[in-house]
Amino acid sequence: MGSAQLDNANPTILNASDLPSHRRRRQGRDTSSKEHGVKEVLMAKPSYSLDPFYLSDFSDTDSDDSTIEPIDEQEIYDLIAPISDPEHPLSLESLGVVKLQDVHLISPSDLTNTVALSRVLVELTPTVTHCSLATVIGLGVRVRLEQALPPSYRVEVKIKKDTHAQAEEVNKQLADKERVAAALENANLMGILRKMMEPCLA
Amino acid sequence: MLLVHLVVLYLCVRFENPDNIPSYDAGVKWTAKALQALAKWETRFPRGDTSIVAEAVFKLPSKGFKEQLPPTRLAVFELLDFLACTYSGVIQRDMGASSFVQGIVLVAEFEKDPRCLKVLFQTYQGISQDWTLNPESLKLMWDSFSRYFPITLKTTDTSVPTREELQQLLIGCFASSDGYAVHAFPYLFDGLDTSEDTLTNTVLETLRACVNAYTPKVVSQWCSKIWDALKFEVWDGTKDEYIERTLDVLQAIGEKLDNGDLNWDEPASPFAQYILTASTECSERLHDSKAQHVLGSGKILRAIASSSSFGFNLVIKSVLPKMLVIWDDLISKDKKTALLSVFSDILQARLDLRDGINIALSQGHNLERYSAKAEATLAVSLGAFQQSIVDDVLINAMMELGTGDAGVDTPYKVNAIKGLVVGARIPAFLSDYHRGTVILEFSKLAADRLQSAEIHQELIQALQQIAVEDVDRFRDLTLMTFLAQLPDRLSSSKAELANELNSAAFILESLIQIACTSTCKVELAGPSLHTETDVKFRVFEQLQEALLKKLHRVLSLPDQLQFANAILIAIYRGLYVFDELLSREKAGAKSHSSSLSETGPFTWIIKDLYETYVHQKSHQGGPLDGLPYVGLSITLDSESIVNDTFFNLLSKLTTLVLRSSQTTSANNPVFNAGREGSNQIWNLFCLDPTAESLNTTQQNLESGPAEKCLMNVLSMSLVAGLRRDEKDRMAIEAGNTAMSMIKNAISPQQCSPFVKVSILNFLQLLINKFGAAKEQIANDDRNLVQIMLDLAADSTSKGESELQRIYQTLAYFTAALLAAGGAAVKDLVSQMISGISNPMIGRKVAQSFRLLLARSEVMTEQNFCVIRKLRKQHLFFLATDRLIDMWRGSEHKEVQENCLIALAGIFAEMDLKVLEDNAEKIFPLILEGTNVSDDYTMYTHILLIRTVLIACPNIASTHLDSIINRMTDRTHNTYDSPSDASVKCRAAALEVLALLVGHLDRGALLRRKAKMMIELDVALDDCSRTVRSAAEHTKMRWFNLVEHEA
Repeated sequence: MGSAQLDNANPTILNASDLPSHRRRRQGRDTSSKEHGVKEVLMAKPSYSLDPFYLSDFSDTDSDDSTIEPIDEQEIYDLIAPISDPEHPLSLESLGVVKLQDVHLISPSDLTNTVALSRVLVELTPTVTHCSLATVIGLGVRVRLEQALPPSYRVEVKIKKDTHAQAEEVNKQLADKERVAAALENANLMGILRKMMEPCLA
Repeated sequence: MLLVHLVVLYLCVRFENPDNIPSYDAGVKWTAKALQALAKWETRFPRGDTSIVAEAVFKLPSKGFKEQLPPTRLAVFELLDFLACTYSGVIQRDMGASSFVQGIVLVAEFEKDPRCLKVLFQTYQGISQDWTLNPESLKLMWDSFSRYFPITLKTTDTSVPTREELQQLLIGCFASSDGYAVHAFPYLFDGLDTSEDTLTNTVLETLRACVNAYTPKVVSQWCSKIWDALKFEVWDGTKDEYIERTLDVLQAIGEKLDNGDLNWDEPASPFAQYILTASTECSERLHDSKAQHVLGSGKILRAIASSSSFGFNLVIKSVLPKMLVIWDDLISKDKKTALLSVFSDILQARLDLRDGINIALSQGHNLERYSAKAEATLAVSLGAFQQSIVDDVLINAMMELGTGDAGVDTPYKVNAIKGLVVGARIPAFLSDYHRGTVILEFSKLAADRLQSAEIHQELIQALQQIAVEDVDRFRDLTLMTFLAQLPDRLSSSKAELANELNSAAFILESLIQIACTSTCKVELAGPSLHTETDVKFRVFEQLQEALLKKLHRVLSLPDQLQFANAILIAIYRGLYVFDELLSREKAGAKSHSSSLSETGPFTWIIKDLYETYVHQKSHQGGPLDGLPYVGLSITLDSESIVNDTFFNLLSKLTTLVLRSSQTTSANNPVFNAGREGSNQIWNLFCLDPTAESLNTTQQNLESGPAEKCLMNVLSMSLVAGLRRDEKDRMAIEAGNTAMSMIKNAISPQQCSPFVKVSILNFLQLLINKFGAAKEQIANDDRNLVQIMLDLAADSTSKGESELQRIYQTLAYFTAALLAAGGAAVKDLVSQMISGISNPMIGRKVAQSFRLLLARSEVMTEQNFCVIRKLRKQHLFFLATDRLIDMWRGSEHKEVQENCLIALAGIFAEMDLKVLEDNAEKIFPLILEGTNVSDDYTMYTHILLIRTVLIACPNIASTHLDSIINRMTDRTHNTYDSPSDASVKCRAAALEVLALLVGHLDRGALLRRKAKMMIELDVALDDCSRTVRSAAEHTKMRWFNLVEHEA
């Protein structure tokens, strides 16, 4: 934010141990760091697992494709938790702006119904009640979820009740599709949003 | 000598060049070299000419010396350095040290070349150390070299000295004379105010060098100022590296000032003043200061207390009384946590002193200053506070280890453990009762699976440190406590079994971490079963003995093979971890092997196992009726995979013992426990008298009971552990045994995949390691390669299963020969390629190409096999073109797919360079390979696209639409139209799509962005979380793809 005065120069940063745990991201990347303890040797794949002449004898349980893993609140939280605050080089989760318990998901009862819509509501807690960047943060969260969730998910981002002096005004802006679309036409604003979302690509 | 004198005068005139002759200015380099050559001629060189030469050189600056080339200046500096070293007395007598110093400083005035500076720093260092110099001369030199501090050199030229080399020489200059202290310390203190990381490091390193080099008198004059300059580096420091370096300086001051003759009751000496000042200031910060200052004070106290016995004595006398009072008054857990850390630091200083004495003694140093009197006084001094520290602090803290909220109390508990372990390690500090109580409490807590990971790790480390110094209590307390947590038997219910196995694995792994990650330092108080081994094995041996006893007990019960497997894994893992440790401690391993000529230190483990579970039996019926064989004396499990695991572990354990760096040709158990007429490969350490026929009947797996196949796994493991040069001692015929294994492999006898692959591994070892393919086969004119080729070629009369066994054997055979670099590989690969088009087994043969380069568990370099680096390239050129031709030429889709499957097997392990060089040729096949309905092949080809995309983006860009289409065909996985790709393949395909951004042309990608975003929205709705995660990552990359970078 350049030389501008910070709204909250000394925000409270949550301990890593106080944060909700994340699901491991992109599991395929972690295969190199295998443990070799007693348990791991006990569970190790048999030596002939690569031998094609025994392919039918050996089934790799890791590649069980029949499991359906529906999107849940934790997955949505994991998508927005690493977003960077525009004022500080800190994640929204470490600043307590996004919290797992403030992510709400209403899914259709029939998951096989491809046209049914799911609804996501994320409530944000600004670090100070006068935070002037609440709208930008809300916009960042909204853009991130709209890009990272399937089109059948309707995203709503709000300021949590009693956490911001102008919550109503900010919520109104975040809910106004046309204003959001217009904001995204602004190259400078998009630059800020992309910067905020950089940690999501790490 | 006169002639030399005249030549010297002539050369000096060339330097001085009073008549300004132009050619003289051009010959400075060779003039200097000539003068140095003459000066080296010590018997002829007139010593009185030294000052003539020096004075002539010192006139060079007025003749444009700084414009001379670096090699010329280097020659001059080398000449001066030689004169200063060799004729120092003559120079000081004839021209005076001051004049020489003035001269050389003038010559060096503009010097910047690293090569010249290297020589100059050496000269300065030599003069400063050896000459008698006045303060003015020292100041001149100080001004000359200190301006280079710190060295900043940015060059990749390997012919010049490195920055580090010059820096060390410059530090040497700083430390070369007491006379520099007055300049160096203030200069370095100023350097501490910098914000540059490198400079701070260099300043601290230089300070330490100065403290180490200057005399105690000088250090004592400066120590209080050094203390004032450095203390806040520790208290307020944020970088551990600086803090450690600062503590090193503070410790070095203590070591320097301790002269060993100090009066322990004399508080006025500079050393005592230094220690007392630091101790007092630290103790003032122990109360009501922020935690960082308390922790920093602990580190400082440890540093100064560990500098000498005298220092330790002063520290504890001045600090401990206050600490104990503070401790009694403290209620806050945070403050107690910090103060506990300081107690640990002070006790650790006692151990540091002991370790320092031990190291010094082992290096043969004179240890007068660590006199018995000092040691006794130290014990008395610490003894005065012993009871208070033990009862009020340590034992008190221990009582709280098993209580409280794990999360909140973790730092306190960790510090309590650290303090207790240090207390337990100090000789006679804890009473026997307290020591035992601590070990028992630690063991109970560490064996609790619900303990937090951090505390568990701390406890394991503590128990490990105590165990290697107290093996008796490890055996009687720790080992017993942990083993008591293991059940007698595991449940038969599957649900409970998994949980019980996990608990057992936790206990066993904890024991391995305690007993196998460090070598023992003390002997058992009682008799040891292993008198022939070194003391360092004791803790390891106690664990292995206990585990073997437990294994035997468990196996005496029915249906407990799974539990036995867990214990056997622990025996194997323990040995593996300990053997690795010994290999790292090479010196220890060397001394050990020399004392173990008869029996290896691990032999007893496998002999115990084999002698318990193996014994001789007789064949009942069949062609081998009545003949002996070596079989099992345990009851096998109903599930073959459980049996396979047991024999797999036993096999790995055996190989590990044989290939250990502790096993030599002299103590190798395979050659040391021979029975007449048989050898251990077939006999398997069987105690019964064995018949000679065992050598042939044991390897014949076509006849006899199934258990012989399991015993063959063990025979294979013995062969795996033998070195290549032990072929003759192995006493089996490699060719004929390999032939037996081929027959066993293609025999229709039912056996588990593990057993069959072990037979094939046996074959591979004989071919790769012992050259079986070159040997004459009994009753056959053909060699093994020809026999294999004939078996595979004659396929018309054979059924599908037999053909599969033959081609499976062929694949393993080929892999072994390919790794060894055998010339016959070409024919074998050709035969495999021919097999691809066989409608019955073509698919399997194609898939078997992946075995040719795949990493094997048995055929490895660790097992002394030959694994040629060029094997990959060799296979590529033998097979790729033929497979491509076959793919192009075949009209059968299945054969085409088989070609792509075989190519995937080859490309999967290929060197990047080969792929890069052939990318253009193979890329269309790689693209086509992503359509093949074979998961391994599809995945491999997707990974290959990723590789080519990164390594050869130009080639990938010509296939951009094909890449996108192939990848989105894989990722398009909806309820109505499921993808043919697995989760792994879909995620990999998305990764390729993500990599397009950043590797290929932005404009070309932007034109396809709209289509991509639609496809990625589909992938975002995938049923797999892994795929969705890859999809959102990919989509963000495409979302950020805009015409111009922000």
